[in-house]
Amino acid sequence: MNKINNVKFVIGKKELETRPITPFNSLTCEFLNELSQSLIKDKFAQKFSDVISFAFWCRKANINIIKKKLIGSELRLGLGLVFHVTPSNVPVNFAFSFAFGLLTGNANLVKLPSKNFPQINIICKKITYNFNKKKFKIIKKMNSLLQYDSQNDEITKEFSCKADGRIIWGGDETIKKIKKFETKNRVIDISFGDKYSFCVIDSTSVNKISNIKLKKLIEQFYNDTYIMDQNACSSPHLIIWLGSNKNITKAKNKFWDELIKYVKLKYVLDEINVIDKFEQLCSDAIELDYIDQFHLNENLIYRIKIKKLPKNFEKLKGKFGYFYEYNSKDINCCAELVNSKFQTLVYYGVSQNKLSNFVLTNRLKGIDRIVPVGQALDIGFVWDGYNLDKSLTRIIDLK
Amino acid sequence: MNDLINILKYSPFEFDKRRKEKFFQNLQKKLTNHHFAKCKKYFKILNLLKYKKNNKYKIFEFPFLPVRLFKKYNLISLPKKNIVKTITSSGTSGETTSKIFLDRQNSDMQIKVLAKIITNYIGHKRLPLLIIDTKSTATNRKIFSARGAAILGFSIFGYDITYALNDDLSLNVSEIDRFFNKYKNNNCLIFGFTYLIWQNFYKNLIKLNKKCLFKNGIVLHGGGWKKMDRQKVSNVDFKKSIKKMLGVKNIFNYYGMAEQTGSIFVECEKGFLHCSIFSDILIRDKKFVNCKFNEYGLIQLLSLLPTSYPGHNILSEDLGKIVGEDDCKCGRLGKYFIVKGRLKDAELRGCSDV
Repeated sequence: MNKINNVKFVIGKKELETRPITPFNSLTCEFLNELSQSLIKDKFAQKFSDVISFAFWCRKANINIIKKKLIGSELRLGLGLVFHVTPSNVPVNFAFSFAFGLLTGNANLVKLPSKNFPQINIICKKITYNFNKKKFKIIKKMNSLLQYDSQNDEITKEFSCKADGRIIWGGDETIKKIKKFETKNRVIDISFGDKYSFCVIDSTSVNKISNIKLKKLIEQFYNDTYIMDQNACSSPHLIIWLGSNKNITKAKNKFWDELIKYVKLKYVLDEINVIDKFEQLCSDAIELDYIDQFHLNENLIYRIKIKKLPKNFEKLKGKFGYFYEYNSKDINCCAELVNSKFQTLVYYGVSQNKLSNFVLTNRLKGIDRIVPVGQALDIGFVWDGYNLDKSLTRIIDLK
Repeated sequence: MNDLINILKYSPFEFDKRRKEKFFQNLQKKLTNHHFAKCKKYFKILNLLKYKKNNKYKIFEFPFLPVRLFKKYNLISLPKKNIVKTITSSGTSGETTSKIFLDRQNSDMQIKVLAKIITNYIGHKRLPLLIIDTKSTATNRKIFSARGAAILGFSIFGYDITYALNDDLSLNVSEIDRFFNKYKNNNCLIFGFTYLIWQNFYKNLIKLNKKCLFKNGIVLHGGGWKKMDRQKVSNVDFKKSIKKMLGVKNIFNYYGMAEQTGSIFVECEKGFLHCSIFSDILIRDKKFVNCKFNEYGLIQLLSLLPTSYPGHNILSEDLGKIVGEDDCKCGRLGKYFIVKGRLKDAELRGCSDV
């Protein structure tokens, strides 16, 4: 097979055992727990907060909680072979995608990001180490993690033909392309396309909180945004501040003054990203005619205050600490503009009741997640409006 | 731009700090206000940055544009009908190219200033010129690349212009031999892009086991080190290897941007790049604070030439440091500096890349 020469099998080989097993099989849970242990113990892995949060996610206690929540009384098996095309914007997403496939009882072909993040190497090493334990022989035979050039459509075509399910993380273009390839008739496709996320903050709530709570809020907001350079689809780019103008001004001062202290302490801004942000400001100046004012804090925080929410405001995306801000009295101000491109709504100080009303009574086509500040990046079996545990398994109707 | 024509009579390196500062600041202000009035996009940016045309600004307080903006937008400060030339940056490394729009006046000024600077290094006499490039690069008027523009620009310093490469970038051995046999003992000029000199000239000559010793030759090269960095060839390596092969008396590297053609920076005999009276350099840290001498940071380049497009004050994506001012051992006055290299591309990209 010549084609296979262009594929680097980081773990496993091309021919896989594709007979499914039961979801949340004790063997897979044990495997993930041991993977978790070996990652947590590893000195080098400890340097990567995203690797560690993956490790925490797949430890036994957490998987058991998920299992309890998800598992029903029906008979279920995995689909068979799931082909994952994982994203290169978030280094550890491949690991979650892989774990989802594993826990739902599937064999997995995981296309790793073409970029060599150190996180990939760390996690793959530990997977290999645990796969080599005799007791995990069965799962070892069911899984491959591999790398090849994204332009190499022949390989993607070949794997698409074989797959019973495909998880396609990627830009809309990638999804469109991969969807065109021939597949089995019954293939289950789960595609995570370009998505937009934003944030609502109630100014009165910010004004009321104690210093300790403010510090916590700032840390959580930082985790939602700066940790992944706002590159993750669920990172917010725009903040809608709710309240009277007076309250908002006060809240903003309190919030940003505290954030800058934290960012200075924690964030390393590369020179190239300094230019990225400045270039974006210039582009915004040219293209947006509704900028009210902007603030820039030592290039670490860019804040662009806009006078109106434009149509397609999902185009207002910032990176490396670049935020758009809009003042409003009412969360419903954006209802007409939300479309299916919207994923996560991050909130602070707004009641769940108000939020669910906002989505339901406005009959929104978008917004798949509504989470408090601090949880924007928490990935789970429910993602982008899909129930992965249901989608990646097959019901056997026994009567 | 009568002010500029006035200073053309001076030698490009004869002003010390005191003499340069005032007129340079003055002309920068005039240029900024000129583009502010004439280029709508530039106006929008400066407006957002709260630029006020009547305020007094120090040289490091004037607004600058990121060089990448010229790749994204057509920035022009004159009616389209006045454009006589559009230069695109070389884009040798596969990135998108900048577009620079020139009218007759701006284009003429570039040629004049380039001549002032270069003759300071190589003398006023025209020299036999070997160009390490293809003839078509220079003659294809349709695609006016920065490489083509540079060749044409530098051609005025030479005669018996000979192109060392064929269209497929292979060596034109017979032409090289002819040039060598005729001028090996004369003063002569060898000009080209750094990467082409290295990859297509030097390396191929090595393969042919050929030595061409131009005892009185001068090599003048520029165009950036991005591709050379990838091959791990430093300026020092380059100099050593070329000197060994060509035996020339001088090798001058120049630094400049397509966005500021003409007011280039040429490395002196001591190994430093020099600002002329037509240009200036500032170094910015990550907060855009103006760095002191000998601190590395982002290179900001100022030029007095761009009148038809707002390229007179730009922030490059190169790192460098200013070594000193008015006291380089080569004798030239003005700031002198070194370039450390291009910033690395960002590691992470958006969701659209798999």
